[in-house]
Amino acid sequence: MSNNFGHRKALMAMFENEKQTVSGPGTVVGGNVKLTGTLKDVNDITVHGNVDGEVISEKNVSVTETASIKGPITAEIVLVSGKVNGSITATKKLEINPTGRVYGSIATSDLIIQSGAIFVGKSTTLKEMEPEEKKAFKAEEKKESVESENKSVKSASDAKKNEPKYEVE
Amino acid sequence: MYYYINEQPKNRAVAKTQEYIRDLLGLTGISGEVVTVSPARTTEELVEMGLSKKHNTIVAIGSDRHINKVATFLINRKCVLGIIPINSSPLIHQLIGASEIKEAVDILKFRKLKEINMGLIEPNKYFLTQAEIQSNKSFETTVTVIEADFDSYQVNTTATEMIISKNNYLFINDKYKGPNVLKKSWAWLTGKHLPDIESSVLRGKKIKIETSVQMPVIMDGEIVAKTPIVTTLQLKVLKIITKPVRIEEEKKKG
Repeated sequence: MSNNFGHRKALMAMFENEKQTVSGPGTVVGGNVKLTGTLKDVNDITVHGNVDGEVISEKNVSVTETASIKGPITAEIVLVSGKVNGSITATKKLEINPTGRVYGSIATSDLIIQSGAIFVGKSTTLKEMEPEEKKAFKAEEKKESVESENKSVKSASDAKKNEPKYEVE
Repeated sequence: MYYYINEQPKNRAVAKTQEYIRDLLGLTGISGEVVTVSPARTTEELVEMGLSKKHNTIVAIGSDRHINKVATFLINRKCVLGIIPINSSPLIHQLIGASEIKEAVDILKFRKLKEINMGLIEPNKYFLTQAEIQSNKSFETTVTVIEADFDSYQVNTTATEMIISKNNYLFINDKYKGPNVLKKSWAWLTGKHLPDIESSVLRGKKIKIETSVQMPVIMDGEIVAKTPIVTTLQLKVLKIITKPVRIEEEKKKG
């Protein structure tokens, strides 16, 4: 009997190949599944079925066309092609595809709503930057200002050099 | 010194392979005490004998079932498990990084250790590869996945097969769901890819599986439990000898 499921075993073998415990391919909720509770994974989450509860991922959450989620979603990147009844917080990017329907507030730093998509709710842009990002940004800003200052000094001295000399009688 | 435990040979071919391995071990310079499981001496007794003789490496030579049995008795012990697979599943070969017997013997020589996880079907059935629940008819199932004390979810679905891996991944599939034969054939003819949206992959530290009808849980062709079951992830409970990176690199180079 088990030989009939060779392709499935190959899929499992793929999972075995992944590094143990913490990392891995993530969670997949099948089309005929009803899930209740808090679904949390450090890796990607793909939902094809029904979820009644919170979905939290440290990476990506993908809500496919057949999926329906009643509850908040939190992730770095969220792709919605199905139905979401609840708030979405996507720290990096939120994309609502033409088949996607979102009923709830969204908060993200990069929002894409494609033509045909439905979004009913309040949208907030995440402006907060990570402290490290802030530092890097400030350093870059400083560098740029110093460079521009140097440039302006140089150009001023160059201008002085190229100034026409007039002889005064 | 290495202590080798042969599985009781099922046929002449296996007995011959065991003899070949013995010769190979001698040639490789890692020969040691070789014992064979028999009705008079069980796997457990032989493992205990090996441990009492202070062997630091016990090598299981045989099928998945034999390897799994030896592994079970070495859990949380200082002793290391070596593996020479005979007629084993690809999962075992993948685990040690060898596709053939000679390669498995070479790997033993280098003795590169790796701590690995194992699955446990409570109360005491450990597994090194995977456990399966399979049926020709769809059955209803309720799965409770527990990641932490306040972090859990419940899944209700139908299934024809459920596979639990040693890292406590649960794969659920219902072969009667999804696109029908006509759709599949059409997709095949037109070269379209039909995504598999019916299969689920769940993961948790603890997974409780309940089914509408009592189902057997099969491990290496043997029924080890019946539903409902609770499986838990056992983190780094076993040390095994695996392929060193150097050999892999040399193999890649050609």
